[in-house]
Amino acid sequence: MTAARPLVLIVDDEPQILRFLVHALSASGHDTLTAATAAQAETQVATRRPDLVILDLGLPDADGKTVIEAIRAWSDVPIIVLSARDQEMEKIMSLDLGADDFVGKPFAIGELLARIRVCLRPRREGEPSTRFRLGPLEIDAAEHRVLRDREPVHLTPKEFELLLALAETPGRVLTHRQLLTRIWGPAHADDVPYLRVFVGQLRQKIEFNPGSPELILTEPGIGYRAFAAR
Amino acid sequence: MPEPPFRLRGPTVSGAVLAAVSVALAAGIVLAWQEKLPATTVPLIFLMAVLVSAVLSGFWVGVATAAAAFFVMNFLFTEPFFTLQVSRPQDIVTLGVFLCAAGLVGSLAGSLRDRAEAARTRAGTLAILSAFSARLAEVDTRDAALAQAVAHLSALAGGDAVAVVLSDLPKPVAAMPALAELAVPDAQAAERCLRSGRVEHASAEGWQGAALTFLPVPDGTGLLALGHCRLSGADTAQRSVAISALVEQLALALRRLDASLSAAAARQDAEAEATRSALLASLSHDLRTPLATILGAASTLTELHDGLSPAARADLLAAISQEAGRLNLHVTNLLQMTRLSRSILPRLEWVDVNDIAQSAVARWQRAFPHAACQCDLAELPMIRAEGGLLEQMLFNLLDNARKHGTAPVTLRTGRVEGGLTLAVADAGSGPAKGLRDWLEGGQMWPMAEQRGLGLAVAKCIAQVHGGRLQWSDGAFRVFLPMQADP
Repeated sequence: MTAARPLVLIVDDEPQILRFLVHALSASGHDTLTAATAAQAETQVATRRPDLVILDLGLPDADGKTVIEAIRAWSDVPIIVLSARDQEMEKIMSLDLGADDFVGKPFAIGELLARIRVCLRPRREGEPSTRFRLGPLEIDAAEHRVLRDREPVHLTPKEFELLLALAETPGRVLTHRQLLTRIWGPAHADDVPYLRVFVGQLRQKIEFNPGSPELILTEPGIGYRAFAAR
Repeated sequence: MPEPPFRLRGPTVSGAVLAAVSVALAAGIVLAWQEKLPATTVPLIFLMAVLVSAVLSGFWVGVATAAAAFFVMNFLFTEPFFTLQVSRPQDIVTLGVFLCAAGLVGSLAGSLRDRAEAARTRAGTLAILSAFSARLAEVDTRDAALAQAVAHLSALAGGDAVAVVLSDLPKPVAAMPALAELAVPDAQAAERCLRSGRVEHASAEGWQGAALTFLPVPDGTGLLALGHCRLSGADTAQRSVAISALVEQLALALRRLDASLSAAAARQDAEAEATRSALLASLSHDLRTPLATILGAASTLTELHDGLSPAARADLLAAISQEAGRLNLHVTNLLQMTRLSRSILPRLEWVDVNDIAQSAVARWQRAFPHAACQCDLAELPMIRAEGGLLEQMLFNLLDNARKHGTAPVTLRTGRVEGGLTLAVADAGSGPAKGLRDWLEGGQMWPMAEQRGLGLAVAKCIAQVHGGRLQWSDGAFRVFLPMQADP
C-alpha cells in the first residue's frame, strides 16, 4: 500500500509565491491547499485537516502570529513559518507560540522541502523511545549514557539534558527560551549567555571540530538545532 | 548679587570749589552786616555754609568746609584780627565748640548724602539687571540674547558696550552703539581676555591702551567676551559687581539656549531616522517579494525538474520573467528617485505628450497583460521635457491605479491656461487624506505607510519639469507648464 500524499496548506498573500509553491510541492509528492488571508487559513485548517501548514507572517487581515495561536489552541499540525531574513524577533515569537520551524525569505525550494520532511516525519507512537542517534553519537536517555563511536562521553547532567532536548527533535529549531525553560526552568528563560556557555562545553565534548560544529548548529539570534540525517 | 562695601564719595575739584565758595560767601555776609549782626550769629552763619556744602557734596567736602570755616572765623572775626592767634579765652571756647559742631554737622550731613546717593544708584543697577533677566527669558536665539546683553551692559556701564566673539580675530557681534571693527588696542585686549580667561581692564583715562574693559563669558565655548567703557564715579564698585552678575546671567541663558537647540536637533534627527528606517523596510519588502518568487521558482525548476509537468514548467518560467520585470520596475524607480533627489536637471527636448502617453500605456499593458486603460487624448502642442521621465511618471500613475484603484482606468490629456494636464483616473474612491496632503506638501520621499516609490517618483518628475502632481476631481492630475521657446 502506498502512503497517501500529505496535504499541505500554504498561507501567503502574494499570489506569485503561492504559484511556485503549489508547483514545487505537487512535484515533490504533496497535495496542496492555498489561503491568502488569516481567516481563510483558519477555516481551511478546521475543515480540511492538512498535514502541514506553511504560513507567511505578513497577511493582509491579521498578523500571522495570531493564526499560530488560533491553530495551536486545538491542533498539533506542524507549522512552518515563512519570514523575511531580518525579522529575528518575529521568528522567535512564532516558534515560542508553537510554530515548528521557519524558513527565511527568499529561499531555495530544497531548504523548504528539507524542513517539510523533518516536520512530516512520523511521530513516535506508544512508549516514548529512550535511545537516540545523532550522527556518530548514541544517546541512551534511560541510562544517562552517551557513546561516540562506542566510546563513552562524560557529560554533566545539564549537558546531557541539553543534548537530549536537541536530539529528540533532530533538524528542528529550538529557541533559546524553549531550551532554557526546559532545562533550567522558567526563572532562567532569558539567560541566553548561560545557554551559550553550556552549548560551548557540550560541543567541546561531542564535536570532532568544536570550531565548526556539525552536530549542534546555531541559528543566530534564535536558538539551536541538532544535525538531521537526510 | 553680593553687596559691595559702602564707600564714601571721594573729594573732587568741584567739591573743593564749593567748600571755598560757601566759606567765602559766609565771610562776605558777616563782613557786610557785621554792625547789625549780633556776635553770636557769626558761628551760626559759618555752620550754615558747612551744612550746605556737606549736603551738596558729601562727607569729605563737609569736613574740609568745617576746617576752612574754622580758620576764616579765627582769621577775620576773633581778636587780634587778621592773625590766627586768639587773645580772649571766651573766643577760644567759641572757636573750639564751633570746630566740633561744624565737623559733626559736615560729616553727618555729608555721609547721609553719600548713602542716599549710593542707595539710588544701587536701585538703578538692580532695575537694569532685573529688566535684563526678564528680556533673557523671552529670547530664543543667541543673537537676540547678545543684543539684550549689550544694551543692558551699556546702561550699566554708562557708555559703550560690545559683545566680541573670537574666530581668527576678535569680531564684534553686537555693539551699542553699532560698531563694525574694534580699535586695535581693544581687539588686543579682547584677545588677551579670551586667551587667559580673565578680566582685561581698560587702561586709565588719558593713557594709551584699550578704552574698554573685557570680561570673558563662561558660556561653554570660551570664545565670547563682553566689553564695556571705563567706569567712573563713586559707585564704580557697585556697577562692576552688577556687570559681573549680568555676565553670569548671560552665560546661563546661552547654555540654556544651546541645550534647547541641541535637544530640538536630536528630536528632529530621531524623527528623520524613524521615517528613513520605515521607508527602507517598505522598499526592502518591495524588492524581496519578487526576489523570493524568482529564487523559489528557479530552484524548483532545477531541483524538481523531472517531477514537473510541461505546463507547470512553463508557468514557473512565466512567473520568473514577470517577477523579474517587477523587480526591474522597483529598481528603476529607486534609481530615478536617487537621481531626482540629487536634483539633477532633466535633459529637455521637444516631445509630444500624447506619444509618450501611448507608449506608457503600451508598456503598462505589456507588463500587466490583463490591465486595460481607456485613453482620451486631446490635440496638444509640443513641450520641452525629458520623454523617458514623463513616460515613467505616467506608468507609475497607471500602475498605482491598477494596484490600489478600481477598474476601469482612464488616461486623459488636455490643454489648460499656461500648460498641459495629464489625468489618470479610476473608479475607486481615491487616495487617503494623508496621501493627498503628502502630494500637496514639500516632502519628496514617500511616507512610511505608502507602499512603494511609484507616486513619489511621479511627484518628483512633475516637479523637476516645473509642474505639479495633485489629486482633484477624482483623478491624479499632472500639470506641466508650457516652456518658453529657447
